[in-house]
Amino acid sequence: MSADPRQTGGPAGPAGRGPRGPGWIPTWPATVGLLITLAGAIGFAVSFVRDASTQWLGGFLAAALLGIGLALAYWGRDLAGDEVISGPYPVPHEDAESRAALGDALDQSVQVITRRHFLTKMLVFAGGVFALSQVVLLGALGPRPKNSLRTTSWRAGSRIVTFDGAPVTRDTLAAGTFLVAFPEGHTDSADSQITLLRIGGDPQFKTLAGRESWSPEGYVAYSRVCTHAGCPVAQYEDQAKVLVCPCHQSTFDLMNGAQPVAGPAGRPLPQLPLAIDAQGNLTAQSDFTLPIGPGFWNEG
Amino acid sequence: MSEHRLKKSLGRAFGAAPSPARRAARWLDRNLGGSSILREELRHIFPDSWAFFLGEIALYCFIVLVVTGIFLALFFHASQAIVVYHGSYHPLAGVPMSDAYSSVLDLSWNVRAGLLIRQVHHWAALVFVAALIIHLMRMFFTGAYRRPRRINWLIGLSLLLLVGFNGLMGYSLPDDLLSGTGLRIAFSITESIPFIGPTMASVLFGGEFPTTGIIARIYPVHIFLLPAAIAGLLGAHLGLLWLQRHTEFPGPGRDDRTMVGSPMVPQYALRTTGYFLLLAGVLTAFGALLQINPVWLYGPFRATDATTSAQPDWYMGWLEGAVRMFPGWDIQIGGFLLPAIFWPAVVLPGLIFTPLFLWPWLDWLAMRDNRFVNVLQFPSQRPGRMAVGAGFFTFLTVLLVGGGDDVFAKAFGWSLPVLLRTLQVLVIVLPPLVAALTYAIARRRSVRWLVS
Amino acid sequence: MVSLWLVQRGRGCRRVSAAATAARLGLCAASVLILAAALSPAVASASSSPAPSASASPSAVATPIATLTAAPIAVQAPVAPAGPGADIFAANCSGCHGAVGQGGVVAPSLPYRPPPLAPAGFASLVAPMVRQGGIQMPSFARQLTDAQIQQVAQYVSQQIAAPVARSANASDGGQIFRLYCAGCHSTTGRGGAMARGRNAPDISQYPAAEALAAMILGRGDMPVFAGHALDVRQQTSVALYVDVLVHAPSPGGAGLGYLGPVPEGAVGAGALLILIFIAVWLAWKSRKAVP
Repeated sequence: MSADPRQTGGPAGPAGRGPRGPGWIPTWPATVGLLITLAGAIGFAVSFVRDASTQWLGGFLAAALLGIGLALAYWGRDLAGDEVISGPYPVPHEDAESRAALGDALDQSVQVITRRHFLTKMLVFAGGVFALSQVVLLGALGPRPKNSLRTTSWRAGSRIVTFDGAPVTRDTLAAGTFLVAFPEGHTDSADSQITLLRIGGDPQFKTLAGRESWSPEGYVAYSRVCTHAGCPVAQYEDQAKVLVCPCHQSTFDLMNGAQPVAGPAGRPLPQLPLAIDAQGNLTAQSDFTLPIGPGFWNEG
Repeated sequence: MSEHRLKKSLGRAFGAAPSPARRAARWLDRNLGGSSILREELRHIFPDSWAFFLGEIALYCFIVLVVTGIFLALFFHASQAIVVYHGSYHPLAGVPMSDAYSSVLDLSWNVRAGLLIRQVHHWAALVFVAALIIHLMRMFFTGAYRRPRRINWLIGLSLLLLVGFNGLMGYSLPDDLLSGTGLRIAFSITESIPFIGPTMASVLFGGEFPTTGIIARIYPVHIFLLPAAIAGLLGAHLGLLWLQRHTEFPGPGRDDRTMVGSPMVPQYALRTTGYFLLLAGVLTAFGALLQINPVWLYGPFRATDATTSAQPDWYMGWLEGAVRMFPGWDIQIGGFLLPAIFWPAVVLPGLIFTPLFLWPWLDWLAMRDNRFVNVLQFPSQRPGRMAVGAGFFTFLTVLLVGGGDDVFAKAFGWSLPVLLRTLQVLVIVLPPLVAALTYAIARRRSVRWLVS
Repeated sequence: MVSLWLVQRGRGCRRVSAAATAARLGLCAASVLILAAALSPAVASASSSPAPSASASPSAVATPIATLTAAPIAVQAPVAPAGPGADIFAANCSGCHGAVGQGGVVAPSLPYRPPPLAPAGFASLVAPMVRQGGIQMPSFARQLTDAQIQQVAQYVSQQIAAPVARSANASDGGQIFRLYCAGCHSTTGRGGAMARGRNAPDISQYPAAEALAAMILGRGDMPVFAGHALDVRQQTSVALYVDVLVHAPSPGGAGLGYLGPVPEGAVGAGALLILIFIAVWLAWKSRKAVP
């Protein structure tokens, strides 16, 4: 039900042909567009066959698309005539009478079911329980965490090695540098990675209560998994003796039990208790005493 | 003109010999029926305004994504099985990596047009979400969510959520260092939820991070589940738009009962098809000339590696900024811990999207206006709404800037701690300031010329 | 004979012609004197260094670095008749780097030999450093012609370098880089903001050999990556990877600063603006249409 179209603007005739009246609109933009498309399409095909670079391939393809897009857009905007039409919006039936009629019709249709109260209740109940029971399928997706978030691969006596398996001995590190280290045999264990430093001999280093035996000969090890969101705390700043996480810039003070001093972390990096065995290799006394990494509900 | 051609054109003019269009119409009617409806819909009216193209940007980006995505899906291996790379990119020769990452390297370096299609796909995704947000803003500021379009507003918001989530899945598929770090953070955010968090994270990921099945799990979600949901909702969105007709700005001859615009055929159809091709051309040009997501430089994801200047794609930047700016206020309740990251990463998105979903009803509570409307409002006609919207989007913008704070600090030579502190102050102070300013300005001037 | 012992420690013998052996013996005598002079103060102050031949690790032919300043490195004396490169080296480089590249207080040692399989070889690292200069090293572009720079680069990489780095390659370097370096310098080497207000620099703007110096000596906030943190082969590998980043390939087009999703998002906004501009153009004529 649309009104008769009325034309606006000047004589819109077959644009570009015949005498140029006051409303004459040129067609060359559309022609140019289509010529660009031709060139682009051929160029694209040739570039592909000759294994040209992404820039040539994509450049030609883009030109082909832009050309035909320009042609059609210009056609629709300028060449198709300034036709403006008006028509009615669909009027919604909002009166009370028709709403009541709809309500009655719905009521009537479901009467067959709702008339039988007991059966309806049973249907709803059984259907609901059935739907809920399907939730258990989620359990197939993955295991419960159990203790996995609270333990790592460190055990009492685990020898400490670098990423290529080389054991770390008492002579490995000097001050001013650090190592990324793992338990022997677990150099790809994400939750066991530690930062190993030799800062325990520094007079500024604060030994926390109960950790007196954890830093033999100045070696100190902290978990490398950030307690904020789990990224490896990869930035080491030697002047300030801090470890900084590159993800959200949580900053941990190595002289004070890796307490967070800046950034969004809330808990310190757990410290790994170290020992040196008879052969001079660095080992762990035990696993971390606190869960590593980001916090979770039942951590305690 | 030859006699034959003269006869044909005369015949067509007098209806004796059918033109190709008439023949097509006759075939359709005989095999489908409903030619009267089709005739009406040929003249379906589309009101004209540049602002009404924003939804089309989103729609056409979706089409580009599906087309390029099909190409990519033919080459991608959604497997984390370890392979040793020996392809054309020599700086990674001999490096063990997942099959997924290796297949993306092959796509980028060995498959002809592979890198082009990959880049077009990624650029289209960035523009898609941006268009959705601008489209949402247009709806919001012009009152297009009012009756009878409340349900369409809900559908649109759901589309935004699904698209954003699908984008996150998409850029995580290559299993590179940058996106794998994002997955680590996603795991941490999930496990921070009270009671169910650790279980939920372990179930969704298939174990403690990092798992060897997460890419294979994301893949069907990204290429099938979410696109199907998006296509379905999009169909409903466009169907409602078709049935209810598009809203229009106030103007001569226009009111709630009368719409004015261009007919679908030929003007609108030509313009929108042309626009689609122009959009595809712009995206292709970007994909050809501007490098995006060079995963070969990032390296394969390893849980021991980390990089600075690490951000998610831009549309997750507000979440990243919130996570960076929120202090480490862990809450210990007896033997239980509520990690600080729960508030900016789980609660805040809820606080952002819930009022958005409820907005049509919040609007009704404020204005007590229940009428069915088809005519839009200019933003300054509702200074209160404009102020609230301006403040809200300012808040999101400050968060967005915060998400990239280390990159801005490095690029402009600023001190990062100073920048962070500034943003933490701005995120509290700037939104109400902007809202008040907007209210004052909107009360005075009409910005109708901007959106006519 | 000390030098011969140093040469064969942990590496096995190398078959050489009689003439070369004679030349080597002759040069050994000279190098012994020089090495003794250079090593004595370092030996006096050095803490214990483990015997590397006993090391089980395939990569750790140890270069004991006891302190940060003096770096006594086992170096191989030049094995072939010295060419023009040697003269250039003696005139321009030995003052800081030592007569046989053993390093000194201000300059790192040059104990690297190009890996035979690497296409570019270590000469590709040396030449830019000599030409452009590094942070503490002056540029020699005005004193030396390009040909001379190539000659001295050849000399350093073939005559002075130690075979210990023979198996260095860029992809091993990349793995180490992403483990130890990317956290501060980013995977693309463009640097990043550090939490205390200073920024880790963009390492792609220096010759890659500068990375070697930084690893051995440390720089500002940057810790030392030497000794057992990274051995000689690993350091060379990292430097070769840094060279890849310096000439980072960008087959996809303009690199947008190699800073990741932030500039990409900003540029994506540009695409949106272009599309909005097109929409304004498209709707321009009909915006004030009257039925």
